[in-house]
Amino acid sequence: MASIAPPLAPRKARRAARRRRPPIIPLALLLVVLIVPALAADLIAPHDPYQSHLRNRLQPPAFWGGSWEFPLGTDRLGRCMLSRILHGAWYALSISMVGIAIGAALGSAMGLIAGYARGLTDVVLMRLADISFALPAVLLVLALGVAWGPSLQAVLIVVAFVLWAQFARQVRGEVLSLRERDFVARARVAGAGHLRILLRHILPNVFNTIVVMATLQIGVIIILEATLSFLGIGIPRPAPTWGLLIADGRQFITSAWWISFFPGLAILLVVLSINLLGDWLRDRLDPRLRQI
Amino acid sequence: MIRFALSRLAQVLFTIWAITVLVFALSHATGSPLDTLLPDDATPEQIAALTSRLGLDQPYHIQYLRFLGSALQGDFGDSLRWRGEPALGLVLDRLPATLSLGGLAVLISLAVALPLGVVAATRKDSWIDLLARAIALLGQAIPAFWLGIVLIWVFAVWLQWLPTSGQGGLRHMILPAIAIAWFQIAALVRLTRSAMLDVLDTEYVKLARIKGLAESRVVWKHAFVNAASVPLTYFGILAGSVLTGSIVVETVFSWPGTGWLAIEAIRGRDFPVIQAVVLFFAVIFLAANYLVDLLYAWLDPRVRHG
Amino acid sequence: MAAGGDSTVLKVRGLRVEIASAAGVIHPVDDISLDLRAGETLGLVGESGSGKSMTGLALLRLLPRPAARIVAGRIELDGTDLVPLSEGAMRRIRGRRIAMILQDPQASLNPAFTIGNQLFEALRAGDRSPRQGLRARAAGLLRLLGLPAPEERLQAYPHQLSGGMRQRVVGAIALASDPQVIVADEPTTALDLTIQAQYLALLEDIQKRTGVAILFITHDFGVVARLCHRVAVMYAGRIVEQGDVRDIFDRPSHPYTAALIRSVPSLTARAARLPAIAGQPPPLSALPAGCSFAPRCAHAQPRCLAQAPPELPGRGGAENRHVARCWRLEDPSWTPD
Repeated sequence: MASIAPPLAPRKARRAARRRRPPIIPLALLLVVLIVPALAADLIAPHDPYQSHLRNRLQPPAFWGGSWEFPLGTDRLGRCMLSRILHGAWYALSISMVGIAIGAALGSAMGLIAGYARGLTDVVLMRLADISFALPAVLLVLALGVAWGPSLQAVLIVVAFVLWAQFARQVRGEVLSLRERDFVARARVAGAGHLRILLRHILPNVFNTIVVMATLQIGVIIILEATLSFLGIGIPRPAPTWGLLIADGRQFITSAWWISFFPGLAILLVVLSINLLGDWLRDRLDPRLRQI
Repeated sequence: MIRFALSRLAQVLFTIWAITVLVFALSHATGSPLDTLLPDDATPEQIAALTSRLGLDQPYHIQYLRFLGSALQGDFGDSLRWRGEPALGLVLDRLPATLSLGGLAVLISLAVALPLGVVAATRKDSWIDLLARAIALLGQAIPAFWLGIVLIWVFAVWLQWLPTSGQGGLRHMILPAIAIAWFQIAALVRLTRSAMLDVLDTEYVKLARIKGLAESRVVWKHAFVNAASVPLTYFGILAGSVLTGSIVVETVFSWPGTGWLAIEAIRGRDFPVIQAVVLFFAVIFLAANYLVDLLYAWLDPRVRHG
Repeated sequence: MAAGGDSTVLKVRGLRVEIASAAGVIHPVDDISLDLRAGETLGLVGESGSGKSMTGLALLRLLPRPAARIVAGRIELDGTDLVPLSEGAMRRIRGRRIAMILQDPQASLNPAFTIGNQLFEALRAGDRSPRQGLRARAAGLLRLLGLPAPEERLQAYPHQLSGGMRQRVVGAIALASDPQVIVADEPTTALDLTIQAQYLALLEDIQKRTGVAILFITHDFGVVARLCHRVAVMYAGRIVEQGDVRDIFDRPSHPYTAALIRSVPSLTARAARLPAIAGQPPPLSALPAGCSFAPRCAHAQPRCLAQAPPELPGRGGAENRHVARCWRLEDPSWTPD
């Protein structure tokens, strides 16, 4: 029978294989556009991102009639766009990472407590989650923007606000079912305290979910940070965040399109890659999260 | 149904109350309003006079009740940046511009996303399904403000088909509306497609085919009407993201709506106007969500006829 | 269209369905031949996964697309072969000349529309008749199916009816345009026993009145004994035995059929002592070379494992159209009991 085994349906089989393989192209793009520049911009950037070259103002990119000295052109002060974008990667990476860490930690802690304690604690926390779910983050952005002006704290608070309720809901749901399982009962009989049960027995079981959710949210947060910086209520100047670079190019859209175009392209490539990576991670680790 | 409507209404009112507390707390967490209202060299008498006029010498809960009382009457104080204009009046003046732009954006997203999602689901893995999935992926990855700038560059500067910015007729609204709609199209296509895939798999759709109905009737009557509840639940979130989108995109296109007003107010640290915008947006958003919840419940015969 | 003479309305010959999946190409329906006469009920019996539901869907050309398709055979409905028909032509036959009742009445009515709405659709699919009279005909159908207060039921939504009532509505939809053949795919599995008995009596009654031919798909030999005139037993995509209901029960000629009948408690007194058939049906992607049932068969011989058996006359005799696929039938004195 083996010799006349029917051939695999080629398209389906290939797609199944692709699911199992890590997505190489997104990973490579992430390295090139985000991670390497974020960690080593000083080494690879051709120029100082803050230094003006007044004689070379608004130079077009090399392939658009400019020179290779400024591969992606220059802005209105003659600053090298490529160098500014490479340095901007650090802000995109660090703010999204720190923001996600805060939001995920806060939300997961709330979810763990709500699901484990149940009762009134659960009701109150989930009601809070509903409220912050029901509010567009933009309202908080406006209020904080006028209260504090552009600042790192304001960005991180907005990010945490956007994230925590999602993590809290998802984690709570899983804890509710986990706490009824045998291994939790055994730990309780063995005399483990609540904190120990939560951290040693329940948390490890929801960890995959938290990791997958965090990955799927990185793109959202990068875009949120860029939007705040674009509006002038994010990371304050002169940090060359991608959002700020796009804002600076806005008034030159008729004459020097490259100033706004390339930072946005960087955002697009990074977020697209992270989302593809997150989808793959979800399929691998936690297929139940499909709905999100 | 009435029970449901009332309990949801209570939740909405509670949420609005929570927002007033938040707004009040923020306005006091960031230094006294006196700093912005008085010149730097104000005399102690001037400070004392303004303090008692604004009630800043009262305990916080009294101040909050006064704030809530005037807010309920639509009085958020006068704008600091546009001297002498009442804050709420400014917001109301700008509202039609925002609503018309947001409305057009919602129309565009529905008109594009629903058919695309439905057709993608009925022809799974065809080129049109691949297109729908590509749009869903790209929609999440493109920031609205950058898309707006790219649209201006391509259609206004390069092709010169449409104006770059400002307010005018419908021609001025097309590019900003697309920039706002883009993200919702992506989200709606994804939701519609997956909801349709689920519904097309059900026994009642099979039975509709067994009856010998035309495929268009099977898809649009039997499948879509049931699948539509999923995008409909999303409609509330859609309202929120249109509000967000309008703030960003109005800035890009210098569209003189509430979003543009809000950003100008932030630059001028104009707290009364921001308070009015925040509370007004919150009420619009929550009201939209409330209506969607009611509509959703009403559309489901299981709820309507208990 | 009364019984008698050769009134075969549905004639299936060599039907084969193919599914291409990541696991390979399988044939959930493999070389099936059936005859169904007017006014007759043919029971298509088998375990789950034997291909009986897939056969039912194939007859209406409603296989799940794009994975499954008919690759060989003919489906002659009143002399017309359905296999080569265009989708449009097939749609004009579906619902009008061949109808189907699905397993789960809970799921087969659309929750968003009233019973009347869904019934009118079926009535109008039958002929392009105008709207007037639709309501009266719909109510009449529901009355035929034994639903009390039919006019009111037309306004109701599916969730407002009980499971038994819903299955009657599904029956009314199937009968709406007076079809020649109804494929009923386990229509009573989801109902409780009393309702099930009522529904079967109803089907019998309707068949007497309309002369409709029924292909009754089930895994339950008790239901077969109660309702069917003829029986076809399916195993791993093939029909292993086919004959009149009396022959199948009194003179089963395939070890699989015999074992299935023994496992129905109400049919034989010995049932309690006999275990269900040992083992599992083989996966369709790895069928044995010979008889598919041989690995589980107490009567298997070396030849059974090597070579697939042809259709041989069963113990009820070829003149009674009793056939089975078992090598042991070459020995006239052999019995599978």
